[in-house]
Amino acid sequence: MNSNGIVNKYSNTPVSKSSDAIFVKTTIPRKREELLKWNGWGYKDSRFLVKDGIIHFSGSRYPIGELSLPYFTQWVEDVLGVDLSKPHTSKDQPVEEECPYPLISNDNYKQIVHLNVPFSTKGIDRLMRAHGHTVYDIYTLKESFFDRIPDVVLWPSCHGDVVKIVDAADKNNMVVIPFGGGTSVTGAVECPKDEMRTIISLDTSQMNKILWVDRENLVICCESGIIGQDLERELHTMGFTVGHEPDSYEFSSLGGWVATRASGMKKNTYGNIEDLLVHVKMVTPKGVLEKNCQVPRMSCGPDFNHIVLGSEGCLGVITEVILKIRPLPKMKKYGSVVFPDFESGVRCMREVAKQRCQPASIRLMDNAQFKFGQSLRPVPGYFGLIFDGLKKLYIKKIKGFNFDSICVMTLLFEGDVKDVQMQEKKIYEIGSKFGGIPAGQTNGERGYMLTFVIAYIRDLGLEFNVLAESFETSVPWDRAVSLCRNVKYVVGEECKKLNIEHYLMAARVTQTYDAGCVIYFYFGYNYSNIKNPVEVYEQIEEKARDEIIESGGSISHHHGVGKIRRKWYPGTISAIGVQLFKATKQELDPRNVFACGNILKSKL
Amino acid sequence: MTSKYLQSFKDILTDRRTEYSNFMWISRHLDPKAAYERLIKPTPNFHKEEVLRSVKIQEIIDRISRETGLQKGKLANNVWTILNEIGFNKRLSIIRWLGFLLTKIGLQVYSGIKVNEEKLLKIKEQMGNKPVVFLPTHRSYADFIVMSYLCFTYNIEIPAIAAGMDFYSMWVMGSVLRDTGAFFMRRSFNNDHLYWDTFRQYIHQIITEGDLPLEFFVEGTRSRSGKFLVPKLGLLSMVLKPFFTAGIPDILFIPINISYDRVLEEKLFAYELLGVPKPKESTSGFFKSLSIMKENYGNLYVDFGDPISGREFFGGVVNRALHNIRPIHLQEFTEQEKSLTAKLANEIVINQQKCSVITTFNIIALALTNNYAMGCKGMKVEDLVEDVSWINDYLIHFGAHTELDSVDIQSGLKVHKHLIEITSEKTVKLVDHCVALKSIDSSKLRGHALSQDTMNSILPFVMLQLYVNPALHYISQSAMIIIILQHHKLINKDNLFTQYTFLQTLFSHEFVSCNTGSNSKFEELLQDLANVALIHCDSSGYYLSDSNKLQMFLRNNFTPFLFTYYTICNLLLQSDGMVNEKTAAATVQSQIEKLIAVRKCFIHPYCLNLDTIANAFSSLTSMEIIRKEKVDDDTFWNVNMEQLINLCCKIEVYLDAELRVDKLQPSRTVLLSSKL
Repeated sequence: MNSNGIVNKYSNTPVSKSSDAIFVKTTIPRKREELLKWNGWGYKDSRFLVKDGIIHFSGSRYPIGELSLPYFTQWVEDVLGVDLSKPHTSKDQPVEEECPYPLISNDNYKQIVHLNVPFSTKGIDRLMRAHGHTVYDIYTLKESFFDRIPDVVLWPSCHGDVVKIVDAADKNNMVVIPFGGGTSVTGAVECPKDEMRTIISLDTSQMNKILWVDRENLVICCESGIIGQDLERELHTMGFTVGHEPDSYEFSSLGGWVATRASGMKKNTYGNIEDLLVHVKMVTPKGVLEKNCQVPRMSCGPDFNHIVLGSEGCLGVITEVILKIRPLPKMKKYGSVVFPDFESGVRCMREVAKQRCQPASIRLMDNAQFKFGQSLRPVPGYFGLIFDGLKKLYIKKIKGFNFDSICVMTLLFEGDVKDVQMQEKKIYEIGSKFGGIPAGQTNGERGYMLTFVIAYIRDLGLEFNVLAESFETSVPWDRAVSLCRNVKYVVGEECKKLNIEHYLMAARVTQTYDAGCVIYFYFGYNYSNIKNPVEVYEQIEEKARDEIIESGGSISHHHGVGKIRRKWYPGTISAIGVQLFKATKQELDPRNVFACGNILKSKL
Repeated sequence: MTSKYLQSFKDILTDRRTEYSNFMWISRHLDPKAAYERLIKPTPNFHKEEVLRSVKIQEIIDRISRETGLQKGKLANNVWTILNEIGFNKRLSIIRWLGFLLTKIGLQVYSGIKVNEEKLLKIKEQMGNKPVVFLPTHRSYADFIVMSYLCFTYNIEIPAIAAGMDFYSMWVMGSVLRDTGAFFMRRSFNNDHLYWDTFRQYIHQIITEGDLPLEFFVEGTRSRSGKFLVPKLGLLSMVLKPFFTAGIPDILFIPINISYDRVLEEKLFAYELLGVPKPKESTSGFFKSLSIMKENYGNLYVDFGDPISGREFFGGVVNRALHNIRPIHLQEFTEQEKSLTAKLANEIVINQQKCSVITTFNIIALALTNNYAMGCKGMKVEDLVEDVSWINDYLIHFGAHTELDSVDIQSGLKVHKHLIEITSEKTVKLVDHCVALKSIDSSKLRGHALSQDTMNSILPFVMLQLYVNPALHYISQSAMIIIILQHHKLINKDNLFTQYTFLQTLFSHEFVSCNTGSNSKFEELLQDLANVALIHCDSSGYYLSDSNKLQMFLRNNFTPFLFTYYTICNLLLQSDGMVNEKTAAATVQSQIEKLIAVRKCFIHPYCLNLDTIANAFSSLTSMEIIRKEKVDDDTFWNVNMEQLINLCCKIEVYLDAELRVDKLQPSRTVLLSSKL
């Protein structure tokens, strides 16, 4: 089939000289568990912990590090009904004997050795690559074990290695699941539990070189395994930035961004991944899919970049990506505006989008999230306390805002000093038209800090019977408010039915477009009286997603379909769409090497 | 003694009778429960402003301006005028004063206002996070006053109530009603697009952004006959649209039944049913009607059906995502949504029926009508007591909540002493009425000009029927089975089902039932009838038992409807195929008046009522036996003769022989013709 010479198994672009490449020092080691939690989010040294009944955040990586958080402690007790005196201890890291024996035949093992690519069959290496960060994944890690984990981990170091691995897998009936940063929240890297073939976890982390920089055209070529923070760090030293900052960008990889159609916080200035992507190589069992030029745009039939973008590991491995870069902005400034209610805030966001004057980031937190954000402030000094009180008094008494309806818009401005000043002026003008009042930089900065810290809260929650997760959607402007209301209602009613007394349901608008916006929901609940918390959570999220879709929202804006949202895929893209996807899969991967089963359940 | 079910009802007048000062109660602190609590309480004016600001209205103004050249500002003013005509208001002082007045009136005229409190409190508990729609039955103007008074009593926000324009034009009363939450809806469906679009948007607004419960009558109008009416879909559709288009997460429909011992408007209704024009609502008329205060109207009962959640009713069937593409204000109903809306409307009426209270007088009326139908002129008290007792048992068996379990007909009769009297021979009979026909402006007659004699003799019967009708839903379905079996003697199940479905279809505009064509409901009905030993079943099929009394009772209460339909069909048969719509009803009345006079057997005078006649024409239209046709400025019924003959034959077999047309001299004088 592939020996007829028409389909080229190898990329026909010349290999770059290794001397041009920048060997990036990776933040995350091959032994991920040395730096990262094996059973939770992020760095081992950074976590919420309870000291003397007060919650603290450890480590010095984040602005709230080493601080005592009494307001947050109070908030957790009030909203989630948590009893901080009764922590729950989870399982220890499993030892080698506890991990299932890898399913590899002797022949396959020989094939793998023969590839001459570093590999491991150690239990912990395989376990660390068996999951992403869904609530199911983390709960399973802490409480039990996965039904199926990869049998072997391979660390290719270049495009050529990947071609060899995929070829060997295709010839020897093995499965390849690409693994980048492991931050998936859709079950995308999980192994289908009834897959009996050898599963290779193809870890791209060693493919993290910046292959070349093109300053004239402002693009760089990177290998897909580079993670966000490494990429930005390297580019900053050269005076550039990609500007793609999804909330996971400390850990997530370039290949993962492409495979899920990721979106970054600062997309207003820099664009989403599809806007940033100039060229991409994907290795499939049938050969390498790529284009012959590095042009800003072209008209040549349907754009196959969009077969690669969002392919979620079903069609091949993304190996090399050419991305746009921008000179570093001279200035970065936070800001915030408070509104009397969520509806006014949304109207303001809509107007900002209409005038297309969005700063790098503009987000709107609802009241629940505003209060949550407020609770994450450290103990203020004596003067701080007075000042705090005064502000509250001003907002409440002078402006007549209701503390239970107030919401806040957080802003991040980037650019030249003058640009930023102009942007600020415009935004605050529009804000005031909708009853908003500027609320300072600190509130804005806290909002963005929250973005990175919020992911750590789940691990704290699980110590106290609280399960939390987020889910997102995109929606036309005219349905944004009703969608939020409807989804909150549905979640509230489900909780009532399930006798869930303490829960948090918060929403925020995280992105704006010409024709609509993105809504992010946070849901957490106290499962003290629930036997099967993960199933119950999944049941609630399913109801919520049904309602999202009935309220005019999408299956997902940037997390992807993965395994957890396959139910809604056919309805989203029509029956013909399903056939088209199946045909594509059949053409590129006829033996189902990429059997992760994302998007559509693959036939085994 | 009242039945167990009704014992749990609370008489809300009791506290008013015993408290030291009604005024203190009226002026108490109020923190009423809203249907949909909002962080910022929307004002009545806010709603109107939002409607004017809405994309939909702005686009319409824009379009009309482009098409006609009218200035946008002027059109906006027009919309604002319309909104001021429609929009409700809320003035607590008015509500309190009215509440005070109503307390005084209520204490005077009613023995008790009895409420299923437990159910109401449960419903109140469910309120707070979604739109709630109260759907009471409509038997009297008192209905919405009762509802508002109830809400005031139970600390529930007084609903925004859809009211007809006749109230709007009443001096002072119009604005008083508006201040207590009424909003006004024009009845005529003319081509005033600006009005209807504004009205629809107003409903959309108060559903999606409002906080008050909404209240309207799904039957569309007061049921003059006391019978449950086939629901109207207009307002219900407007209310459902925000749900189908996901503007709201859910919507709760509360079927409510208000049963009256005696309806304030009974006499008026009897006239109206016969075609004597309804006086225009006027404030002086209202004060005249204050004369009602001298009389006693017994008890009234308010009961609530199980709330119907839109989410549950349509969930899994309707895919709201079908409305995801194109703007919300440009969305239209899908065919499925339309038919399910009709199903919901029916479901609401069925639930109203289920929670209706059958008063003792309803049963007395049934017994007396039955007695008259059997040719007796009066009825011994002890016979009446006996009949009331077994009719009561029958009704209870079919799920009715009746007022009595041990027979006490005296109190039932007392409230209706103007209609029923007990003579010195202990005989119960209708009180003779004397109608001053001269005082009626004959130019305003809607029907045939009935003679003085006819009017005198029929009015008491028609009034009596007003108290039979509220219980008809416990009778009509069983009666259909009985008359089929009476004719066929022995019939297999499939055949029985076919015949039953035929009658259900024929009377689909007469008796609301959700089970037309439903096999399971049919089985249930047969089971119920077998349980009371009315019918039997063996391997050869279904047949009647010997228990003749109950069978005759069911037949007798059904026959007037069957006979009216039959007479209409026969009249149409004698026509030349084109019947003027305007005069049709009067011709039917005139024919029936004649038949009553010449026939020896009893023809119930209720057959003369215009309501049933209109229903019959609607049914014939649905069955495509007649078709509306416009010729010049007149509307005609175009008759499909072949099918009509067929229908006549099918109906005829179910009538008593002496009621069939061949027993009557063929009368060409009442020929229905387009030329007449």
